[in-house]
Amino acid sequence: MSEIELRKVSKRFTGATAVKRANFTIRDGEFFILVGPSGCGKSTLLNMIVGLEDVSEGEIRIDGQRVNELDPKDRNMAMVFQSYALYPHMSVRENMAFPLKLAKLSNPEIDRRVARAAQILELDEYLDRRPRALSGGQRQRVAMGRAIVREPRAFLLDEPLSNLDAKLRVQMRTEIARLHNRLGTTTVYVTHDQTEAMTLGDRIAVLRKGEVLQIGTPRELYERPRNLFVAGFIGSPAMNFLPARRAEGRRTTPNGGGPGKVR
Amino acid sequence: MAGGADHGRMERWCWGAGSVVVIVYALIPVAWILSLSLKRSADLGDNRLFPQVVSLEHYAAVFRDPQFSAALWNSLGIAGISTLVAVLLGMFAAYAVVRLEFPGRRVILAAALSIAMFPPVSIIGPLFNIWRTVGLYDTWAGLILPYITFTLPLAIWILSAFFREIPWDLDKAARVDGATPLKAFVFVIAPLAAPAVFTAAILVFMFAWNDFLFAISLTSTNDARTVPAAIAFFTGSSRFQQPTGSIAAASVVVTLPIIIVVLIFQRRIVAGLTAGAVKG
Ligand SMILES: Nc1ncnc2c1ncn2[C@@H]1O[C@H](COP(=O)(O)OP(=O)(O)O)[C@@H](O)[C@H]1O
Ligand SMILES: [Mg+2]
Repeated sequence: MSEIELRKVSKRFTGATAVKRANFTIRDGEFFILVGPSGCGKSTLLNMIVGLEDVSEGEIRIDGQRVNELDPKDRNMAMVFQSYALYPHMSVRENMAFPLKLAKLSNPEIDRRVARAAQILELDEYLDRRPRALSGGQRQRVAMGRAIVREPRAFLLDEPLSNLDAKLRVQMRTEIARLHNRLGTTTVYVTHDQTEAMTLGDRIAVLRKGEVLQIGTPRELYERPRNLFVAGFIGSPAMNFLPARRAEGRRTTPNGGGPGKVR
Repeated sequence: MAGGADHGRMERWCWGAGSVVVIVYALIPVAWILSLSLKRSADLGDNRLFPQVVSLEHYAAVFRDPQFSAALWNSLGIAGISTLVAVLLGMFAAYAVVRLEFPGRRVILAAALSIAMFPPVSIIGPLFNIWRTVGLYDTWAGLILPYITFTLPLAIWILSAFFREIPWDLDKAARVDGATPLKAFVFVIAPLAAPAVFTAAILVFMFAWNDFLFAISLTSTNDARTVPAAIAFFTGSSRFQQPTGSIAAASVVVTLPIIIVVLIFQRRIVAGLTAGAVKG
C-alpha cells in the first residue's frame, strides 16, 4: 500500500527530453493509467518510479519518503514487463519463488505464497513447466504471479497485454481488474490503448511527447477533455472535430450547425 | 514424385560420401599414431596400418617415466586454472562491455581482438628474460599468465556476442525482484549464458593444453613442463633408438582428455535455451 508522488520529475537522455516536469500524485490503492502514443515517455516514467532509470530532475516520493537514490531492490515494487521477462531456465514455480528467495523468506512461507498466487491465477497445473512450454496468456499470468507473490507496495505494469491476441486481451483485462479489486494494491498501468485506459483506470494521465496533458477519471477525460489531443485520443469511435467560431457567447459552425453554449 | 524421392536419396548419398571423406582425411593421422602406439618396438618400421600384434609396452613405458606423470599433472593444472580464470574474467568483462555504458567500450573489444591477433612468438624472447628476472620462469604461473592473456580476448568475444542475445528485460526483472546487480548476473544471466561459457571454456582449455611454444620456452624442469614440451624430451631406451613408440603413446594419452572434455561440454551446448524468455 502506498502513495506515489512525483514532484516536477524530468528525464533527459543525451539529446532528448523523454519526460518533462511530471507533477502528480498516485493515491494509495488507486489504479492509475499512463496512456499516450508510442514514444511519449510512458515506460521512462514507469522505470523512474521503479528505479530502473535515474531521475534527471525533480523528486519521487513513496509514502512521503524520497526514493530518488534508492536501488530498485529496496523499493519493494513489482513490475510486469511487456515481454513478460520470465526467467527461461526456471520453472513457473521457481519464477514466482525467485523474488521471495531473494527476500530470504522461509521455505514454507515461499511455498504457501506461490501456491496461493498459482491458485488465484489458475496456474496450479503448470507450476513445474518451463516458460517456453506455456501459451502467451499463461506466460502473462506467470508474470502477474511473480508480481503478486511479493505483496509489494505497488504494481507497475508496462503494456502487459499488448503481446496477446485480441480475445485474450479482453479476458486478461478483466482479470487484472479483478485482481486489483481483490488485492487493493496501488497500481500504475502503462498502455497506448485508450480502451484499456478507459475501462481499467480509476484515473488516467494522458501523455504526449513527455508532457502530461491531463489527469482525470475516465469520465472527466471523456466529457471535458482539456485540449484537442486528449479529445481526439480518448473515446471510440473517435470524436468528430468541426471548425467553429465563437460569437456573442455562442458558437457557430461554418455549415450553420446547431448553436450551443460555449463551455 | 518418384523423381523427387530419387533426388532426395541422391542428395543424402552425396552428403554421406562427403562426410566420410572429411572424417577419413581428419582421422588418418590419428589412426596412424594410435597404430604406432600399439605396435611392438620391433614392428615400428613395418609400414602397416594395423599392428601385427597389439602391445601396450609403450603405454607402460610412458607411465613408468616420472617425467611424463609430472608433465600430465602440470598440463591438467595449468590448463584447468587458465580456463577457470579466463572464462570467469571473460564473463565479467563481456557483461560489462555489453550492458554498461562507459566511454571506450568499443575500443576495449577492438583492443582485445588485436591482442588475440598478436603473434605469440614475437614476445617469447622478452618474456623469457622477464620471467627469469621476476622468478616466474619454470613455474605454473609463468605459463598460466600468457595463456590467460592470449585466450581472454577470444572468451570475451564469444561471451559478449552471446550476452547481447539475452534480453535486457531479464536483468531489469531480476533487479526489480530484489536482486543486486551481482545476484542478477549470477542467478539469471550466467545460467542462460552456459552454452557460451562452455564453448569459451573448451577453446581456452584446448589452447592451453595444446600449446607448445610457451611451454618449451618458459619451462625447464618437471616443475612446470607440460606434456607437449615433455614429449620433445623423450628419449629411446638406448641412444641409438628413436622414441617413436613412446611419443605415439603419449600423444594418444594427451588427446583423450580433450576428447572427453569436448564430449562432456558438447551436451551442454544446447542452443535455444533463451527461447520462452520473450513472447516467442
Ligand atoms: N536509453 C535511452 N536513451 C535515449 N533515448 C531513450 C532511451 N530510452 C528511451 N528513450 C527515448 O525516450 C522517449 C520515450 O521513450 P519510452 O518511455 O520508451 O516511450 P513509450 O514507453 O511511451 O513508448 C523516446 O523518444 C525514446 O526514443
Ligand atoms: Mg514503452
